[in-house]
Amino acid sequence: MKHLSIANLVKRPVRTLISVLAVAVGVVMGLVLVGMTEGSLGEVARRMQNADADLIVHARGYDLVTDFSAPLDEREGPLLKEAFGDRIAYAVPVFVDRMIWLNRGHNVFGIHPEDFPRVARGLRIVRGELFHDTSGMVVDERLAAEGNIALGDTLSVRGRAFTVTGVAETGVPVRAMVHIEALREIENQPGRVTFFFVKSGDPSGRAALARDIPGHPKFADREVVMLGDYYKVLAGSFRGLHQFIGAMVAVSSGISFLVILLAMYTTVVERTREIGILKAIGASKGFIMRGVIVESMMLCAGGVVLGIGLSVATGAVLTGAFPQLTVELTVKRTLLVSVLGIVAGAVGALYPAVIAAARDPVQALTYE
Amino acid sequence: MSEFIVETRALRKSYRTGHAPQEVLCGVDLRVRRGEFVSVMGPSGCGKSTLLHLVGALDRPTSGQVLVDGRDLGGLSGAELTTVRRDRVGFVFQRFNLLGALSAEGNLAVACRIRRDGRKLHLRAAELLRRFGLERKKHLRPQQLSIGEQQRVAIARAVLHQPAIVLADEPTGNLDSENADNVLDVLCELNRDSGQTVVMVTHNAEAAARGSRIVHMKDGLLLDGAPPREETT
Repeated sequence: MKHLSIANLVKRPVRTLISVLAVAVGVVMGLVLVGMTEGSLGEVARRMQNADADLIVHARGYDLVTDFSAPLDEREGPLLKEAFGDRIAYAVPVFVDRMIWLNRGHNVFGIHPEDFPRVARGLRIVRGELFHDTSGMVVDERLAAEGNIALGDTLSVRGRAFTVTGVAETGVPVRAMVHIEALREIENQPGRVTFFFVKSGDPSGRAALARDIPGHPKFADREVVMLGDYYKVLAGSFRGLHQFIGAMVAVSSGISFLVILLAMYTTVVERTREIGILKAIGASKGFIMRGVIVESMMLCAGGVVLGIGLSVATGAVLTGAFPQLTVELTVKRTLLVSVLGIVAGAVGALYPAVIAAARDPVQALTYE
Repeated sequence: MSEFIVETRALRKSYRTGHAPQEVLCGVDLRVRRGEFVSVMGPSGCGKSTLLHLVGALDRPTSGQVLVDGRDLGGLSGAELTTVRRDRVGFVFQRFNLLGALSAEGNLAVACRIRRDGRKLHLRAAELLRRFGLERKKHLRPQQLSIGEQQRVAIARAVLHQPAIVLADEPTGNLDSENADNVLDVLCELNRDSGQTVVMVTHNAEAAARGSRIVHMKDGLLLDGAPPREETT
């Protein structure tokens, strides 16, 4: 064994393991918690963005994430087309409601059957067929797999039973769709819709269209969300969650940092005599400081590698146990966490390194 | 170039313990010529190790001067003293002071890394291990070596960079007579064949006699610090 930092890590395996685990826990917290939040929200946003539309037009003050009312009139769709002509290709009415399945809430879209291709661009019904009347329902593959739902099974929305007529590819905007009239009957809101999916006639003009719709006198009470910005809408609604996750990550990172600081501090104290020897044979302060910092960075690198492995494993376990969950581990985020972990190791070792370098060599040599 | 490779002038060192300072060196005048093997003898507590620490730039004097190879260590900064220890001095300790986590080879590798000319020093390190009969044990850690072998590794580390002076603080203090003889043989061989200047502190008269000159120390003073006009063999 020739390299002093590596030799010291190997010589104290328990301390090394504990320090590596502490860093790994911080990495797992950062990657998995953020990955779950961003993954789940990102997955919802991506599904919404699979609609063959550019904009969502809804009532001013309506929260797309938490509200389940139907404040708009379906006749507004043709009015939009009339007002903006070829700038709008079509406006698809959607009624949004909520169903409880397997103790979780799922959004349900009420649509006209002929609008399915526009709502679920390119996605197919892979088993069975689309509903044709108000008794049928289509679910996505993920919900079908999780709930072991087969064609002909019955699911309930607000107490009304629906028969599953088809299973759609995963990626449709919502887990379940029914006929728009069925939801209107349940909510006693004839002719009403929650929002419109609007397709721009000119893709390069969608941003201008998004600005012009609420500027039109007939639609002054409307708000427009570009479908590409749907993630921001979700994130805005869950701002508190993001802050909570951020706090958790900060706390766990802080704990990892303190463990490294403590580990390196006790290491420096334990190795006082070794530091004295190094000084006696001519090691400079910089050499001694580098040794401590490099050792710490090695510990953190080990923790980062272990943390990434544990994050992948944890993500797999979580999505296996909770199929509706998406844990997103991106390369960018992993690299960021890795760099932060190693930098934290260097910073955490700075104070112990300074103490080590400042040791009086004669006193250090006689330290027991 | 100065005639003396080590020279101390009215060297004093005191430590503050409690209310009153404790004077360990009371004005030491020592002169060592290049190529000498000087043994410093004296009872425990007379200041021998403190003298060595000051000459080896490990500590600073309270007053007086320490000159190593003509350079006054008193006015040097901490970084400059480190340079002196790195380039001009080699230490051999009673307790060997090897790095326990590293092999014999690793201990010398660290000493190479501290210095700049790595490749040349690595070759010299290998040569020293061979010369001291440690080639086959170079992968062993200090605790796996005999005490004599450990001290030979420490000597190899001390002379790796061909220092101006080797300072040995009771190098045989922890050794049995056979190993002590072996270690003294190594130091004498370095002095005789390579012209290595050695200052060895010891309280053992037999070990002291292996040097080319013996100086005696008592109560922080040298009784005979200057070399005689003629070479002493």
